[in-house]
Amino acid sequence: MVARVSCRESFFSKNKKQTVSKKIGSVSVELAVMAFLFFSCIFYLVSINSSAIKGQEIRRIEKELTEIKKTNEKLLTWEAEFNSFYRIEETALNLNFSDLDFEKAVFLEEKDSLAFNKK
Amino acid sequence: MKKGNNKKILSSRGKGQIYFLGVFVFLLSGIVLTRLFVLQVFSCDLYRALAENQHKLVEKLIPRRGEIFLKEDNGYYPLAVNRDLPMAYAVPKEIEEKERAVKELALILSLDESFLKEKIFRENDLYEILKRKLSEEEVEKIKALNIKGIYLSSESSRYYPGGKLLSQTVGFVGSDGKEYRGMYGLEAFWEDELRGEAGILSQEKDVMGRWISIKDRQFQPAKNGADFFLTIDRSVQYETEKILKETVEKHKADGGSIVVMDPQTGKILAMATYPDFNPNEYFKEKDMSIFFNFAVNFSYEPGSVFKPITMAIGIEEGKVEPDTVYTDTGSVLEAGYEIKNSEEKVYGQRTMTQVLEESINTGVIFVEKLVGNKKFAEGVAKFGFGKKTGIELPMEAEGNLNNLKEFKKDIQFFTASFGQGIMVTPLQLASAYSVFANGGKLMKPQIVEKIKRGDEEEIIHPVEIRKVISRSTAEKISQMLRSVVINGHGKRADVAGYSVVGKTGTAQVPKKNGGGYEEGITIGSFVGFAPMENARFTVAVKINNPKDVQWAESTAAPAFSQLMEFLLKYYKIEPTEKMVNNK
Repeated sequence: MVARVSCRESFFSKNKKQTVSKKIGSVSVELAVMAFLFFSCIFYLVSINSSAIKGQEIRRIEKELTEIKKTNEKLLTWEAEFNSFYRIEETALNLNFSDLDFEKAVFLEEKDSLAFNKK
Repeated sequence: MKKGNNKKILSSRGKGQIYFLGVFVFLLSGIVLTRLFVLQVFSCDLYRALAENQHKLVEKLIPRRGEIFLKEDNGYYPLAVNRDLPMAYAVPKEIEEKERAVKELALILSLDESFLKEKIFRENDLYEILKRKLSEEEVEKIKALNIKGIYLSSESSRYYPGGKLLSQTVGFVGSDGKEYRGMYGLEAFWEDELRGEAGILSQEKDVMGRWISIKDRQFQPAKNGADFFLTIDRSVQYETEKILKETVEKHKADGGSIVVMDPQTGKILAMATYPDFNPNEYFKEKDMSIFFNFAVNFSYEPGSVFKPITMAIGIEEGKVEPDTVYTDTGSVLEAGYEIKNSEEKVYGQRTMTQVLEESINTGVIFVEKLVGNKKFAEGVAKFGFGKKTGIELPMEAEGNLNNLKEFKKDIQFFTASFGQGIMVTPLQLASAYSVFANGGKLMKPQIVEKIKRGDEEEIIHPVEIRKVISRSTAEKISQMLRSVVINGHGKRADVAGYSVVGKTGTAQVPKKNGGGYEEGITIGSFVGFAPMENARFTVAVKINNPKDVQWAESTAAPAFSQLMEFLLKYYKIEPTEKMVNNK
């Protein structure tokens, strides 16, 4: 009996020895693999998520760009409208501007738009 | 024993019932299968279409209309642009306070109450446009109203920031009853290019109407309209319009036109017609003739401005020279008609140069007689008269040279030699005088400099149609025309310090019902170019029916001088002659 037990014990202990996992440093291989897989999943999820978010970001920026382009076009049209000679002429009339006699005019600086008529 | 009999009875009845049930099920299945077959095979297309209609989103993508630009300093000025303008619309079905809506909106939008009532009181109506192109003030007031059923939206519409600038040439975008399209001018001529091509988006949608991005998608982007960049300079155009308006108003004329052309290339630098209109408010005009371009769409009998053409043909054919002498007796008799000089003057011996200086009718008849009718007709056609110039504008008039078809009718040719009995446009005259200015070549008038289609740019290059006269003839005519300005009727066209050349013309206007000319109605013209040696500008001025003075030297010639002076200074052209205080 004792011998059988001991054989059994030795058998189990042999198996026990065989089932003891290999280690990488102080960490077992299985644990390492599990951890690797886990963090890979996390990394994958995070990168997918950030790509998806980027898509949204890009769409938002594209929308903003379209709005800015529209505003820019609007401003260019306003600029052209205000620069219209006929509008300037009408405004000068409304503000009661008098004609400038270039021969008698004195300009405040050599190339200036500000001048007065010399009597 | 009883049990056995019952079994027998049961099995025969049961068999019958089962048989009957089987037949029934078979028939029912047959009906169902037949129905399924009909639905899925014969009516497949119908149900597929219904399903697609439910699940498919199909949208037409509207292209952006191309824009038109003028030259300006170092860049371009937008002449015709697209602008999103707010509009007010009503959903009558949703409006609860209809009376209040009518009253308030009538005040804000300055509309008739009856007009608004007609729209707002429509039963079960889902959409009525109240007013387009609202001002910012109107938008704010409507927002403040806060009436259910009254909404604002924006729509793209055409806008002309320059107002009246170049109105007849650019045209406008308006409705022809079916759709908005270009009407008159460049907007009409280049409608297909400016409009662009609509795109299409076809995609599956979910129950909420959102796109299902992983499903099939058909996308054809809209092709935006092409942008046009003109040869016309904004400042030159404005100054031309200003001078024309002042001249017409000063002489209480019916109207007028001016064409400014680069004689070396045929490029149009300015083209003005007066009276003009504002393309942003085209709908306010009652008389549609205001939309026409007098420089291009209408021809007229040019009068004496045509004499240099006759003279050029005579010199080119070798029949006369600038110093050829002839004797004027004051009139020419032909086919029972007596053709006299203006004011019935008699000049005696004159050179060909003096014929142009003093605008002697009999002198050019003398030249035409030497040339002969056939050669004269050919020469006139060679200068581009009687045919469209090909400028990129709609409804261009050809003019009329029908009187030069029957070579035996001398009287028609005699009158044509001094510009009566034939019809030409101011643009044709500018082109013809450019022949003298550039050494003898007829250049195609050009108003578009480049076209931008997306990222591609097409530059339109000048086109030489043909050689009309030799350089020597062109130079001789130029000298003669200089003499007209210095010694003749063109003195008021001169610009101090520059060799300006040109010819006046005071033409009679034929009666509308035929048979002679209108009393007291004339068209004054002056056509010329400068500087003579290296011409940069050809200008053709036409003033219709001035009321206070008769002669072109008092109407068209001074306008020409004013404009030419501006051009020479604006483009910083060096003076070609010593300044003499003789004006």
